[in-house]
Amino acid sequence: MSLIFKLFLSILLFVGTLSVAKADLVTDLSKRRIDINSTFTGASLLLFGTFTEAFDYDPKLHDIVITVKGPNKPMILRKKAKKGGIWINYFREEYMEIPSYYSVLSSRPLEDISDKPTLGKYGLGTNFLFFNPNLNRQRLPDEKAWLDFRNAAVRLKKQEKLYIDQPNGVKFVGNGLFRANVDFPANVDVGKYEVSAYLFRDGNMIFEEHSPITMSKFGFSNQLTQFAHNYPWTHGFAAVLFALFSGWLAAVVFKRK
Amino acid sequence: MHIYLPIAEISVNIFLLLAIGGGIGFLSGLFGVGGGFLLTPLLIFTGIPPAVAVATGANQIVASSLSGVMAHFRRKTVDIKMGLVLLSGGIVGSFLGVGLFNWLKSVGQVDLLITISYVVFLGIIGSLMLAESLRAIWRLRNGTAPPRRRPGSHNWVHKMPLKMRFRASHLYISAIPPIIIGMLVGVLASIMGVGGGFIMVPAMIYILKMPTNVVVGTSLFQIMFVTALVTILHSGQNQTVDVVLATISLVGGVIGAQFGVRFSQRLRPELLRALLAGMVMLVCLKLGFDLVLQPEELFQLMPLNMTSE
Repeated sequence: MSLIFKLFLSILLFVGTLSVAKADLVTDLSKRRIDINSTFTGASLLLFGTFTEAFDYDPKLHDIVITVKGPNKPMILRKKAKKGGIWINYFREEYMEIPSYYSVLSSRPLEDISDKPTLGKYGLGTNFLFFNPNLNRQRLPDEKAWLDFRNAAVRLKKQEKLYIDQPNGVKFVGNGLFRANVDFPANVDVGKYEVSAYLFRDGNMIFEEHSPITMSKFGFSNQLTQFAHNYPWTHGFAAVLFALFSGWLAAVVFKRK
Repeated sequence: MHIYLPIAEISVNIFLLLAIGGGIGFLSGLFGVGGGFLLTPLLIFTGIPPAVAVATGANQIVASSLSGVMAHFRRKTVDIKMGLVLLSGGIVGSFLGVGLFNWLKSVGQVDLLITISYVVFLGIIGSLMLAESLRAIWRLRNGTAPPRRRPGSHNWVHKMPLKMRFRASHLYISAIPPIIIGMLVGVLASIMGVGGGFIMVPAMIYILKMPTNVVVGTSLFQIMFVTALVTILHSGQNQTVDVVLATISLVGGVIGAQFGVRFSQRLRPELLRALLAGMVMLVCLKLGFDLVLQPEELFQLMPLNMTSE
């Protein structure tokens, strides 16, 4: 395993040095297609790479930022307020596109790598994600509350482990090679994900690379979910038939009591 | 050991679910009630989204009521004609209930509807049962005889049109009251995920004046069809039926019920009813406090269904 890995790394480094003129940064992934099966534990993805100046790597000068972004989904965020003595969903903000998954890994905390305008320009970090709120359908406590709502959405996504900040998630393993481990929880959405890698030198973004990966789910429980979403009425009938069968079975098994 | 519930989208300890199912099964064996009205709130307490708890509760009741109905068919204690009349109301009620459920879901208030329905119904049923059972216990202590039930007198039920003969129940009454009762139970089944036996059984005895021996079998007969319809409607429109969750709680429930039945023969019925009433009131109070106290998390992020709004 480790021999194969080392061999693979040396090939990668070799390719990396060959393509110096064209690409400043080369990365590769342990797999292009992630299959989450019914072990319910999610999956993880190993990303590794190197860059032109890697042999002169200086931790104060060079930085790598890696983001993984899932498909955008429209979401609604509600906030409870006390009305007539009870807490009800009262305020709301509708977002047209919330990345269903967003992971950002970097060799140092993002704020140490570059300034806010630069990070904002490339949308690096949860602070710079844009959710595209539907201004016609919002009901906010006051004009400034949009920021609270946006931050709450990020916080809730982080609680579900669907947004992940790993300020030291990119590790240099020596010989100019870096690696990063991206985690996906069991409740990730399926679809096309985008993996982006950015190389910074002295706070300036000098090279970026994007590549797609596909997230798919396998296993009994995921087939069940697909079935429930794609054929909801058939699923309902099947659920009733299954319940009738279990009820009949229970009655037969425990008839003699 | 945790299991990932695909529709509820959370991981829950499988033994906790089995214990809840077993506990509810034990209670239903012990008290002779369906237990759906305790199952749904307990599932909500474990973190399962209320909409999923309701739809899955209905699915689970399909199974448990079939077991019950089979036993009653063997004893010929099902008034099928009355069951079908109740069911005709139940079908209308299920559609109304699921419609109300969907509308409130689209405006973000479905959790509130579920909780308030539970607080109101558990509060009413719990306090009535508690008062009745305490009176019975008190009477037993003092040795006074319970008041005799008056023979079935004619009431407003007999003055309505559309009269039908129900042979198994020895009744000749209007079909309108059973249809209305069935409808109410259909609404409750779709917004609370319950069979509604706790409403229907007293209504059949006190309003329709049906003989008690056919009441439970007939109500289970109707409940089975109504919860089957509610399951299909919720699955078709909301995709909130979690078969994995239903199966686990059912397995626990079937086993628990066997122990409940055996244990019930050792306890006095008045005491049993008082215990059940106490439990119902506890769940009601917990849900009530959750409405009034400030929740830990004020925000809720949900997928937005662009087509439904």
